[in-house]
Amino acid sequence: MTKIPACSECNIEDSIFCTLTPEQTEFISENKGSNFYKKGQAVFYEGNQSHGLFCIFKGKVKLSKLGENGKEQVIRFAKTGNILGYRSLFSNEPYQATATVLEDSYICHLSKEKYTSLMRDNPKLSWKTMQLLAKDLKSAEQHLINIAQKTVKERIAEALLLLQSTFGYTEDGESLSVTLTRSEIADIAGTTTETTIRTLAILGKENAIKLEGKRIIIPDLEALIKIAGLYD
Amino acid sequence: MQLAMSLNSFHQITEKQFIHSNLDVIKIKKNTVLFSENNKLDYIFFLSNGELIIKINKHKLWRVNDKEFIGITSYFTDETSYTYTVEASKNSTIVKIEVDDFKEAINNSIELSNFIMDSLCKRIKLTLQD
Repeated sequence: MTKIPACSECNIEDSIFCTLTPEQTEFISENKGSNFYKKGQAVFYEGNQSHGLFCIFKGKVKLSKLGENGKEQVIRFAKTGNILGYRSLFSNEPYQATATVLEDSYICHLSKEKYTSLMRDNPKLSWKTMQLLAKDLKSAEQHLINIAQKTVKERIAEALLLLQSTFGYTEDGESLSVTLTRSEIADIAGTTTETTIRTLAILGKENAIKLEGKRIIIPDLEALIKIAGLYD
Repeated sequence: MQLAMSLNSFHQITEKQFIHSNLDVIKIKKNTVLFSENNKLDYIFFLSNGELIIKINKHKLWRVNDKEFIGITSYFTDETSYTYTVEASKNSTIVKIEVDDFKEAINNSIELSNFIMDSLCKRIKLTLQD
């Protein structure tokens, strides 16, 4: 089992905690808790009371919520270095989503009181937190627009691009480094599993992707970006 | 700095107090566009009274009718232009704040930061419920 190091030894780039002073980093190390989660295990559930913030030391996490029809809606993914549970922390509401581990993961926990005291002492941390929230809001808005304006094919292409930009490729430089079921991909794109299976097959025929069991290969990223209707 | 100080607890200020403050308060009529998608992001706005509609690609996204900052999503995601269009759906009173003053105010007020974080969280919740 991996030993979780002190926060000062955590070399995660772009972490929200990169703005902290050595003393503040030491403060987190002394006050955090750490846990190992098996694949499929929940870190927290939608509706549970929030007590703090989670930071992924190593792993991959899916955040999802149940829609009115009982169907799961994937809100976002988180990877090594990302934080979870911050929205409920600032809105003083229960968790708005369930966090489920996609692969065996090591996750640290910091209480609400400790995090807010750090924000009081470090305006850069508040700033980073506001940036995270704004980014989440932008993604939620984009998802809403996509559902209203984009075709299922465009949405599924965009879901694959989201997975690629979040988790990247495996060592072969082409295969998505996260493995999801067709049903989970459907939950990201806001469609049914059957439609997702059909659409992935169409994308395969157009050589935008290759399917090998659960593994998805993206040989032509540009083609997929074009299909998704993203031109940046 | 004076502006930053007056912004410190501005979210509790009434419309009348805003008009008599040293802040740049503007009144816009129903159906007037406050700013459009791709306009340069020079100001953050705060709705004091009235109602605004936020649109992206002509798609109506939100209706804002409570004290709330406008333009912060674009600002905090490091955009140099607004990523949406804002139009008044009722006659509205709005405080106009230069981005540098806004940044200074946030750096000087944890209360203001908390207010913004709370607003963003509420907005995310509403967006995900749609």
